Amino acid sequence: MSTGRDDLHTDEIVLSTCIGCGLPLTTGSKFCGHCGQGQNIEDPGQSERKWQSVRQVFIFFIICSIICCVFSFVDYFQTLTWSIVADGLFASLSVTFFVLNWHRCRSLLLWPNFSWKRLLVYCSIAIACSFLVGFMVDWLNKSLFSKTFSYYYFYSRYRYGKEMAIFFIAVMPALFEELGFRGFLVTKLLDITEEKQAILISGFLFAIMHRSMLSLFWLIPFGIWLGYIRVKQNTIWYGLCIHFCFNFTACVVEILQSAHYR
Amino acid sequence: MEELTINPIQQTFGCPACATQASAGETFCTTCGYPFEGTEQEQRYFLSARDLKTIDLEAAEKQIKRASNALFFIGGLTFVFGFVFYAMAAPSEKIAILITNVILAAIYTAFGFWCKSKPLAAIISGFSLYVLLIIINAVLSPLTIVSGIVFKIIIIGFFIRGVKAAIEADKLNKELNVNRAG
Repeated sequence: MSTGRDDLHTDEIVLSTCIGCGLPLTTGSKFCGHCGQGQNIEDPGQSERKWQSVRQVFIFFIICSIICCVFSFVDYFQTLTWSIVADGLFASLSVTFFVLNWHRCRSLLLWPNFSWKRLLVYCSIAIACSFLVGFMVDWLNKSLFSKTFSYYYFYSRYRYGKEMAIFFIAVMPALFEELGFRGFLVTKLLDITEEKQAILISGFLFAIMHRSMLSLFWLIPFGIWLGYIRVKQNTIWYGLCIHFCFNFTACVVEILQSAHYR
Repeated sequence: MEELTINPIQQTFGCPACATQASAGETFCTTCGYPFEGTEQEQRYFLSARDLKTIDLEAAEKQIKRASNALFFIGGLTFVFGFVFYAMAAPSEKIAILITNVILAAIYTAFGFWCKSKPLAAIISGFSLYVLLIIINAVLSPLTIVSGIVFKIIIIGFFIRGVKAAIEADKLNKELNVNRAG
């Protein structure tokens, strides 16, 4: 939050000035020694605005949870049509909340300080992590539960199954989870609390939203990493590319494994 | 009213409100905002307003403590019921149920401890997990919504008041110039 404080730039020293009287402040001052004005005081309506942001975060989270849980756990909805409906609902939810906070979120659609090198490094890390996580999750599933799990299996029985799997596993989540979680959610959390806490909360909510206890060990760090990049770079595009590369790699590995075992 | 004693060599004196060393040229304390050159009435008003904020902060911290205890309580219950469900479950599901409940208990307990340094983040995260689990159970078995409804309402009440209190405490900490550990 901007304090509205001006800074006096001398040759080497930067002196802060009081937000009330404009006179220079001594280093580390929390109150002005001349007029008594607090320098770190919140606006009178700040707490109410924070509480409104908390409510918006919870409404988003609860609707998101209901959509995900209903379409994942109710047998009746385990069809391709309902799966598309679920993805459509989640996409609409993310877009709605993003647009409702358009004035705060729109800058995230820009890509300031774009760097091919940075993008390449991020995507390479995402691909490497995807291989590593895929291997570990497969090993854990086999060791603990004596079974394997494949997202592609659901789409494999349909015509254009591979294309649908890539679209619904790699493209849709990357686009709309980033819009919802790194776009809307992180922005709202930054209104409520400081950067570090906002990143941690968004990472945790992103992880539990996937409803897999075993996957928390990689989803939490992954969510925190995406949140950190969103805050550091002030755009959702790096996160979107990372998320796409991660999911795309996992999807391709599953498709190749499926072809191999067939 | 306590009199200000100026150190003649260093030209400094202790603030009557927060005891920070202030220099003689300052009209207000740069740490707490105490009006050194204000009238006696202004100084009394400042001190009573500061006391009121301190009382509000203590009340907010009490609410945060309750939310923290709620997290510990749910963590403990999840741990105990994890073993109960483990004993009752079919052999093929035993290990999954035990691992799930132990991880959940560990997460709630970790949030309970985290409440001491970062209450807002800890309560929001713990509350979200609790709500998600209620939704999952309700989808899998709708009747679970009503089972233990009073207990759920009380816990959710603690969390909501905890979040509000954490926001308020954050504001008061800034106003009183108190830095929370961590």
